[in-house]
Amino acid sequence: MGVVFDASFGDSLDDLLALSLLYLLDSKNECRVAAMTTTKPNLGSAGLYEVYQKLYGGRPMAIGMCTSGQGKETGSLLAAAVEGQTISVKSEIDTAEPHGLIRNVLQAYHDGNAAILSTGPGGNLKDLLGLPTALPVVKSKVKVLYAADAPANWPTPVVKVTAEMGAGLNYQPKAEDFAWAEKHPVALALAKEPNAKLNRAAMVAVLKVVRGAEFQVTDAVLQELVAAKPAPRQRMRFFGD
Amino acid sequence: MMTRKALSRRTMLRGAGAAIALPAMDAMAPALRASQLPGPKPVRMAFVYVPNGIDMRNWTPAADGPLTAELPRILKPLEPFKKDITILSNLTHNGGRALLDGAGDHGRCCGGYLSGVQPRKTFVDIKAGISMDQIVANQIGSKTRFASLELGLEDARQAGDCDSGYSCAYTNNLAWRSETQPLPPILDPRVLFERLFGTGAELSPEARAQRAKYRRSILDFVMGDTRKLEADLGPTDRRKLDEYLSSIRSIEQQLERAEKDNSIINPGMDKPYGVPADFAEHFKLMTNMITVAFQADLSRVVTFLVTHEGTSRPYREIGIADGHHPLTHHMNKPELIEKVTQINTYHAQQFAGWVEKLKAAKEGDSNVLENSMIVYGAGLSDGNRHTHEDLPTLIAGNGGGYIKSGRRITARRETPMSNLFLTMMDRMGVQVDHFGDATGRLAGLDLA
Amino acid sequence: MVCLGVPALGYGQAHDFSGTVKPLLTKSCSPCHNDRNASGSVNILPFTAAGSIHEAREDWERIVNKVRSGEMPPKGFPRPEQAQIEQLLSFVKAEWDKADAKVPQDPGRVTARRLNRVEYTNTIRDLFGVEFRADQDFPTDDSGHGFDNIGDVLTISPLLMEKYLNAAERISARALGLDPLPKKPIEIELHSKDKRIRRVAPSLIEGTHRVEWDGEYDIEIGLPGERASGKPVALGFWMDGKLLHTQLIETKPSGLVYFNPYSAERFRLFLPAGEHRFRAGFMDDEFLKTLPPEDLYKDKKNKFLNMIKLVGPFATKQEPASRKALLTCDPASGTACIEKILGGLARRAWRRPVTTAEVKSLAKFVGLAKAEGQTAEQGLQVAMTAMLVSPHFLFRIERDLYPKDPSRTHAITQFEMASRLSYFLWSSMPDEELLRLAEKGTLKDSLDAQVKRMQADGRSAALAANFAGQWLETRNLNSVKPDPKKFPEWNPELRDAMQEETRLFFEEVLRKNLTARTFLDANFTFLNETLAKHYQIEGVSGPDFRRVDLKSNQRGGVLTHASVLTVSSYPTRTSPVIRGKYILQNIFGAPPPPPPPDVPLLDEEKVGSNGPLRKQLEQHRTNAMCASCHNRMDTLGFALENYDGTGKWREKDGGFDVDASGTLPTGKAFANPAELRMVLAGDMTEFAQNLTEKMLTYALGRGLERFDRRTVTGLREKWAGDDYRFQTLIFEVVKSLPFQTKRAEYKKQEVAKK
Repeated sequence: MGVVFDASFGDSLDDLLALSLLYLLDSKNECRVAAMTTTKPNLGSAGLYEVYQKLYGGRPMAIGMCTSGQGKETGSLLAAAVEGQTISVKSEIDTAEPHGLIRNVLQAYHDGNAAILSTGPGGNLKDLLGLPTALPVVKSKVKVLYAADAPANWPTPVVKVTAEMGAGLNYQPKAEDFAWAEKHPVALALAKEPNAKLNRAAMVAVLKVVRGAEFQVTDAVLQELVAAKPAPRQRMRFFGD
Repeated sequence: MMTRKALSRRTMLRGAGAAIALPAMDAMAPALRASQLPGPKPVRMAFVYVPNGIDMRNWTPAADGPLTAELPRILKPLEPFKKDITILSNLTHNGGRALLDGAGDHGRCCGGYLSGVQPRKTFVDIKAGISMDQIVANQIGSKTRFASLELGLEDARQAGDCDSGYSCAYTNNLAWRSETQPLPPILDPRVLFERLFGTGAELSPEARAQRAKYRRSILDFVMGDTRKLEADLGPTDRRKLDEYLSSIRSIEQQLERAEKDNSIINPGMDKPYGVPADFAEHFKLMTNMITVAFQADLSRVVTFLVTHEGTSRPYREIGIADGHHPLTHHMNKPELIEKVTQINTYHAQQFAGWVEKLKAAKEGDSNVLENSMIVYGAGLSDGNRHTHEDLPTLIAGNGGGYIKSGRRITARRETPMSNLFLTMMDRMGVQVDHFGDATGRLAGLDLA
Repeated sequence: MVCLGVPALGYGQAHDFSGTVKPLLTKSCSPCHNDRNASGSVNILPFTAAGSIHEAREDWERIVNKVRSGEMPPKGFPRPEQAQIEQLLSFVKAEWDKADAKVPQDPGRVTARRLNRVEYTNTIRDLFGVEFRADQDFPTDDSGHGFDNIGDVLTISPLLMEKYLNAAERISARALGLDPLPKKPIEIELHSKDKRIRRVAPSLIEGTHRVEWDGEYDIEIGLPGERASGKPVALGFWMDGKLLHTQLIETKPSGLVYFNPYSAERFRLFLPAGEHRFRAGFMDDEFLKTLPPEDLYKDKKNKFLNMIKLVGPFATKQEPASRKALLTCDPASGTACIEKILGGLARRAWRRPVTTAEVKSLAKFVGLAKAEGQTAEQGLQVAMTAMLVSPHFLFRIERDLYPKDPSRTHAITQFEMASRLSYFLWSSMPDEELLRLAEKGTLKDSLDAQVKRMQADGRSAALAANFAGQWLETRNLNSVKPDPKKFPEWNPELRDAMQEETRLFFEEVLRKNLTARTFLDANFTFLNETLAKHYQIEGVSGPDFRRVDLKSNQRGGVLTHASVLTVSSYPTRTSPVIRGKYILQNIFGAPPPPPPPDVPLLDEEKVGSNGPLRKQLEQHRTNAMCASCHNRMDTLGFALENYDGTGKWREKDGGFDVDASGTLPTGKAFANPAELRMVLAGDMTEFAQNLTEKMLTYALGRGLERFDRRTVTGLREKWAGDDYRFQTLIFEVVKSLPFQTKRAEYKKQEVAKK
């Protein structure tokens, strides 16, 4: 199952935690992070994705970044998370167009074996639908869309991501949880903004996408997974790999 | 400048790629006919494709923007022309990737290079997509004697399969007339010569007109016969005969065009004898003829599959005895990478020779190069890892004052190469909304 | 035949399935092949459902093959008891047999096939007696399923259509002798100083030239030098290997004073148009043996050759045979004659009777020519051109009797059978006897006699050239390029000799009706001096080929032919992997799946210095997932390591002793190539199956589908009953259901991909 992660990345702590969770599940082979796109026309946002990919040993991939619209500013959370990180995304051309990227990536999945999680504004999703060659791909490959702002004519089942999804949960991440990494973005962000607002909906959405809509999300589960260190990757290595 | 060669009655042979001078002909029009006409010159388009990827470390210029610094090693042969070339980075063909079909990157990257779609993984019921040069040829081909020309230098393998489940049709052809009909390249310079400039035993204009009349009659006759036949056939059989019919129609169109413009072109070179053993000689012969063909406006759309995708051709001409394809799986051994780079540079050298000829071919107050868009590229970037992004691509020429050349343009990552094709099609006068997997036009090419 | 309703398959076997099959799958297969970790893209979960045996039959067959051959589970993983495996295999086979028995046999259908290059060349030769080499002019045909005569794959492009038109014009002109010759003859000089002449041997030179027109040519051979006590010697002139002319020439000094002695011999011959290889040389030149090598080209010590000159064409005085054959009456005499000529020709060209209307519409071209002021003969030429670009000529189309009902099969017509037979066995058009029998309606009853006659006919050499050339991939000899540094003995003579050996060997098995086992292991082959030297076999001299009984078991069978060994090697060295794949693909018909994309190539420098090739390739077998295929492949390839990259025998490979021993996954062991051949020849089942499939594919011109399986198995069993004698296979193929019957096309159903 491949998951496309789309967010206004870097604006809210929820998203940072959600991606940590998603990548953790990826390292346990429960899913694959298929693509990461941001609706913020902000290089730091794209760069932060790259940090995650390297940190969790994910497959190197291009990052989708929207180049217009809202969200240009770097909030304090984002600034903290990227501080001191080595990022190779230096300009717009180091990123990809989100709609083409998502379409390309979806084509590598079997029918019904991909899902999209979008926690922020639905601009990238709308662009995706607007791309003529993408519509049939979305229809056949995407099992479900979890979105906060789904476009009206989305062709597959949609689950709306709302703040209520996180209701009843009290999981509070601590910077020390992420100490297994030298400069984990969440740890850096928490250090700067220990009281950042959390509604946990994004993390719940991640678990529902990967483990099924009926999966019961509890604080214990979040505690166990969100900050956990990723399992080492097993891959066939060839010479010069 | 083109010179008129004296044609002698005696025939002489010279060295490799030897030529036969034609017996004297009567009605020969100078080759420069089209070039001397006033008015805007037609835009020509060509694709030169090299296989098995390119050593990107020695291809990609260090910086974006104007090519002021010295060009990297593989591009060095083009140094004298660097104001006329544009290097493009980050163009991608997603259709070349495995997606769901496993191994077969060579079949896919070549079969889908000009069509922007992933070819079907099969030996028999081949399906790629119509290639963009044919879309252009369909639109503007009626203006020239030949709607398009397809060339190559390497003959196809005669037996066995070609790439992990993909039919040889994908790696042996660059241009596709329809999703099931590839256009095989001409390999023999003699054949190309005869096609463009006529066969040796030339006829008088009356005789030629008579022959054309007979041919049209014959074609009408067989078309009628075929239609009668088709009525009782199953769908697949009918498709085969449709290919036949459409090929006949295209010859009819050629005949019509040839009639309107009845002159024979004097190419200013002797007819090649056959296929030269030497790679550089072969390359030169073929491209020289295309230069003349452009000047005489015999065609405006050319695809050139230099050697097959996945070829194992050794390059003894430069002292490399190992096959090209095995070398590109170099295990990161420096000696092997070095050989690959040498092959890449050798190819670029031949290409630079052609660019030089195109630039020297004057047209009005510019030259053929300025009025053309010659794309030189490969279907893979890293031949070892079979990557399909950041495909090495450069355009020589300005497309008739449209491209601001002399720089490197880096697109966003994963930008489909089909975006470039859409832009080029615009320039060739073909308006399409979508092509292949394009997400829009390629920005930044113009701004002249 | 009326189709039965969809057969109701008994799913009552479900309990057997869950007893025999499911537990085995779950225990042995699912650890690697499951939902999360689908090794090799295989997830065994869907196959644990009983119905999958029928629904996913093709995939199940692959599973069965892998389990039976021991490839799965891979070495090092726990393997179930052999008894359990047997149970699984026999259960599955029983299920399939039951299902198959309920379904009427499907003969399939062949798409309209255009003539490929070889077929075009041969058809023109048989139709007119004109030599036209399509492979020098037309673009290469695409191949599918290993052959270039597959209807679905052959396409027509505008380029090809142009070539057909040009060729048709030219051929009809040449056939009628109307090809306009240039006003003055042209002189072509092939001289050794221009490198246009290749010195094949001290007294033999060769040059290639494309002759543009049929006609007579003055041929002049340049002979510098003199022999002091020279006796006359026979000078021979060959074209494409055929001796055209000999004459006795003087070699002693002429008595005149020359600084550089020189003489030339001239003779006039008819040469057909096309690209030809010309050779001139001395025959039985005893004098050469008395000469030390340094004197060979000293013009005071020896007479030799250095030039071939061709001047022409000159109009021939006699009527070309093709013209005589065509003009059975004088076309100027009127419509009756014209229609007679065109009618007779069209019947042969279109391979069926022609209607009066068709003849009349062809005759219209003569009228058109006359209106243009040309002669009736020239009009005939135009009509013939039309005939040769007509779809009736270029395509072999078979009609559907019941186009709307694909479940109804029917026999093909007599004429369709005539074409199928002739293009199968001769790669050319039906001859007069076949056409006559078809007209009488008795062809299909006399198949045995006809096939026998056709096999004995010289034209059946086409089977060796085309079927064997593609099955054994020896056609690739024209494009391989062994490194001259590593293989200095490689030259066009050796290459041609290799090809000839395999061709003659195949023909021998065919003509003498030997058992197909001979391909795998034989005690004879065909050699000439060049090849014998290559094989280090004594006692063979001269350029001609002859059958040679083999004294040692170093050679014998196609796997020891230099042709096969060369096309399955790299330019600079052997490759056990390629050879193993070759054997799996062409002998067993079980090609391995492709490798993953990132696999690196062997380190060329290391090969031969650090350790034997075997050790280098051990890498393949250390990783279990790679080993699953490479165990079988590499082992087979290593058995042939005694033969280097051009097929020479060797005991050492770059300093290391060659170790050609091994054990197949089935457990059979061998110590050297000869023993491998015995092992292979010991069990003919897979080989026979493969050869049957290939022959059927070639004969039908389409790939085989699932429904052909019963045909293939039936053919093979019948063939086994005759100890696999080769001609029997051909007879059985001709008699088989798909060769004799066909059906209409089903509507395209999308095959559900997983």
